[in-house]
Amino acid sequence: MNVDISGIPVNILGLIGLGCISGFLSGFFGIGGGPLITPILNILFGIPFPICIGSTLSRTVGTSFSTVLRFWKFGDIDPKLALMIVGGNFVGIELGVYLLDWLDKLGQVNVGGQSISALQYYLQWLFFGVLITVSGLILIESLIHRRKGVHRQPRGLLRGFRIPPYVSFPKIGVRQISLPATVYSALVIGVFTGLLGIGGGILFVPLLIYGYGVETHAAVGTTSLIVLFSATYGTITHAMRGNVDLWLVVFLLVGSTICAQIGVIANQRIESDSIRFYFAFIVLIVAGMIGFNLLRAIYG
Amino acid sequence: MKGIFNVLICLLFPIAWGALINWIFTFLERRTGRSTHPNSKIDYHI
Repeated sequence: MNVDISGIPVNILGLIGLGCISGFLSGFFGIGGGPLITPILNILFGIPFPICIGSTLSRTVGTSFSTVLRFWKFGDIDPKLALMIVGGNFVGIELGVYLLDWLDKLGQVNVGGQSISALQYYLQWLFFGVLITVSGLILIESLIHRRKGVHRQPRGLLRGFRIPPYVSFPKIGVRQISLPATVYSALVIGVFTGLLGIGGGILFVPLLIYGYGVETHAAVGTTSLIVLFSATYGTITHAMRGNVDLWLVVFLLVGSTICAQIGVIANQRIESDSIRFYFAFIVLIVAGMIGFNLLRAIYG
Repeated sequence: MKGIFNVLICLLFPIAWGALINWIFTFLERRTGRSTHPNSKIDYHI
């Protein structure tokens, strides 16, 4: 039972299965699953990267909407912070999509004696780098946490920047922070969203906690609103370039909606330290898959 | 020339947008005397 996605026949059950895995991960770890799904869609199903990125962003709009409603009810979202940084984030997304177009225009590169798509080759390296870095940082953080025993709220590295004007978010623990440092850091993450279709749990939550010094619950809640905005904008930008496949979005959403609840139930039964460790492990597996694919391309 | 203009837009727009949102929220909080944060108990009335 196949469906045609940009000229490639793809197994429907396989797509629903992948959606199910991503839904379980989002319920279990509280992340969208974009950084994991996008390379898997490309490597396992052979779907071109731009379609994977555009469609994954579109799926994220659906999943993040329900998350926003849940966090809004708990009062964990700071709308001022979310709205303030989406301006810079949107500019970053535009730059990311522009970079994607530029990579696409590079055509073919010669790797290991064979000609492969430059877009495919460079994006796999980028994904590999991002995933290895993220899993490494999570492992270091969880090891430090285990050694110290007590969790202390980080002060926020970007609070050290003394470039006016300054803004404050007293309800989420940020007394004063430089506006340029706030918006330009969101711009950099926007580039990753436009180029790779990632940004939410994997980049924004650490930025808010370690960069701005936002309290953890508020960081996760506010990120959900930022992700809703950025995924919506990213979907529109990619859709205008024909990078969103509706069938792909539908099958991923069906799988993820069903399995997200199972992930939430599993989350309740495991300690948060172990959850972070498992997450780093899964990210490493996906990075390993990409690394293997790259080695196969280089050495034939 | 168009390139320089685009770079300027990319650099200035995020700051202008952030400052505008900050001004709107500060204005609303002072006007209503309540925080715009959901679930907030802070009284902003001056």
